[in-house]
Amino acid sequence: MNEGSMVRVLLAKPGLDTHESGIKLLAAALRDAGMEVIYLGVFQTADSIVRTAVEEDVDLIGLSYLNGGHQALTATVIEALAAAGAADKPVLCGGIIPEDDIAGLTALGVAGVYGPGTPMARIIADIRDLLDPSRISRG
Amino acid sequence: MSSDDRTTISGIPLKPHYERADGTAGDEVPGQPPFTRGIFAEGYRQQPWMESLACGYGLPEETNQRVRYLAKVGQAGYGGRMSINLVFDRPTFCGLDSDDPLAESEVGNVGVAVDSLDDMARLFDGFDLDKLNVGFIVDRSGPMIMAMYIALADSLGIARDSLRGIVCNNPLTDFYCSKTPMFPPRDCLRLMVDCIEFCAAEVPRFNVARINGYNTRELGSNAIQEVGFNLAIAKTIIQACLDRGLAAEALVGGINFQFSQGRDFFEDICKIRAARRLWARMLREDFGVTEDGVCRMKIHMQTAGSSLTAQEPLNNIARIGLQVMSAALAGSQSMHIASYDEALGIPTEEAARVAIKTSKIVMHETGATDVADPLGGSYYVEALTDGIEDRVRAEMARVEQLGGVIKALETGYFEQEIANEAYRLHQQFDSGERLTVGVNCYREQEVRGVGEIFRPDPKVSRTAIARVRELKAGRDQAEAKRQIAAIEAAAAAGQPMMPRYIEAARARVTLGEMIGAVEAAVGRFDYAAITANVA
Repeated sequence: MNEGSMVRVLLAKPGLDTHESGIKLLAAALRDAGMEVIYLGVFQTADSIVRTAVEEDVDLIGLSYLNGGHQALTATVIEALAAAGAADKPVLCGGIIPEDDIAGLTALGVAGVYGPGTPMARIIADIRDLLDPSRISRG
Repeated sequence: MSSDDRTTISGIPLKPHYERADGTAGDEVPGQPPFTRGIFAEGYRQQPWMESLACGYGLPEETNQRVRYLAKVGQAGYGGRMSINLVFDRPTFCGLDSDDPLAESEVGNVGVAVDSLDDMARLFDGFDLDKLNVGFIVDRSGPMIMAMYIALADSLGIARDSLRGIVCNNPLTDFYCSKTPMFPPRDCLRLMVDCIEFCAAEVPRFNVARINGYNTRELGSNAIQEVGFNLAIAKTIIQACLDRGLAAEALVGGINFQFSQGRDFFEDICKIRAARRLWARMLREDFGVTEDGVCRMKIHMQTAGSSLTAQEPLNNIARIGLQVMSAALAGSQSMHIASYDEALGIPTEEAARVAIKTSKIVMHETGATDVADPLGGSYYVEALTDGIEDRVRAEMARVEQLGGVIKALETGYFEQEIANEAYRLHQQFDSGERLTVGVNCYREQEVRGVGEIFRPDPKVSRTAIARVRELKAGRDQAEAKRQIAAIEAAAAAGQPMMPRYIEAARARVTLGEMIGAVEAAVGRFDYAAITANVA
């Protein structure tokens, strides 16, 4: 696990969707909240995401979708995480995700799904809740 | 925000009221240079705006049906033409065939899947190509899609010079907006100019580029950046055309603009007025264009998707109505009117119908079409128009100082500036300084959505993949190979590309293969550099 004192978050956009306004705002907000953010950008694959997650030993992964690819693409990321022995890293999803699809993502093991208009404070608080509080307090 | 400290949404300071001395409000007249007050003296009397709802999903046949539906409920082009404004799915936009492994989960999701000339034929099945205003919302793949359309017209015996419409064909904006996998910027510019040059000669009534301020704005820019970055991009494109030996008069009329109509009613009107003035003056002063007619900036307005909320979606109908009104008062030539469910998915039939009817209500029930530039002479509107113009000029000068547009794209300047602005604005909403009804004020405890939302059909992907595989298996392989090699050779040698694409389309070479052949010759741009600069 991460030896540093800061929470490290990996953000990425899997697939061909390039609506990245939201995830860039989240990156800025998480940084303002004292977290370290690695934003991989667009056109990411399960392989590129999991490789970076392991190499950088991030605490949490955030994936953004506005194109309807959330179920299929998140499944590939979560499978690849398990295969890399990194299934303990929580995955959050955000973007345009129909309410009816949240259950499917939760069943994959996704720890939170955030739609448009979600206050950044809520996402930040959820991340802190998800991660080990003793480590975060040193951040 | 305190009552004595107000700004437009782009941060321009506002006084409590405006007086004669605040603006030039001069003697400008609609229909005359610099066209601040609109490009026609008659305003909308002869021709109201064209409705051109961005439309596309699933297989070509499904989009064909949706286009027919939009026409049935009132969507109209110019002079009785049918209006078709096509959105392509992400694989098509990115230049990947449906059977590409990267495309699989995204075929037909947010646009129509087009791989080949056969798909193009399915898309336009039953339409008279010479009676359409067609829009192709696709940039890097734009020349290839245009080539397929020309090949289709040829095969149907439709004269090329009877084709009307627009191919967006401006990949430069995509380096920081849609982020299509991309050729290097200078190659993009060259390939774009190829398409402009070919169409000016062969398809002269077709508009050859749409400079997309809308996407810039949706990424989070302010109005100054929206206009300034895109005028700078337009200038770069024109210069590249002139360097090729084209005459400015012959090409600038085919370059159109697209801007956003969002949540600052007056600023978005003044932005358009300022943009028209800047464009006409730029063409005259920087490029020596003397013919007034071609200095008219033709504008497609899109109501801002980013202004719409997933919460209480029906509230969006009110927002969209105001934006259509604002676009009408600004004097735009065509409009995409968003659907109230835009924040949830691509429009359902009902939501698209309400969008068309919203346009009709503004057109027929408000008096907005009776008088050109009805806000002209308002102290506030004229002062804000001037204020935006000054700021846009300063922004364009900054881009020049940094080494020009190509440099700004390569270094991530545009993207970084927009990201900063987006965050500034977001903080204003997050803190409650600016309000969005139903999101950070007047929230409903129980969020009520709309009944039906659009769901992608998994059969689409399977059918599209089967079709493109069948096509690739069944064509004359030697001829297809020869055409693919010819594209690569022409791209490497800097030769005109459009004839190559058209012949290749006839030989059933797919879009993905055409893009692949060009990429083999010129390489691919690496976004990682920009992302590292920005994020």
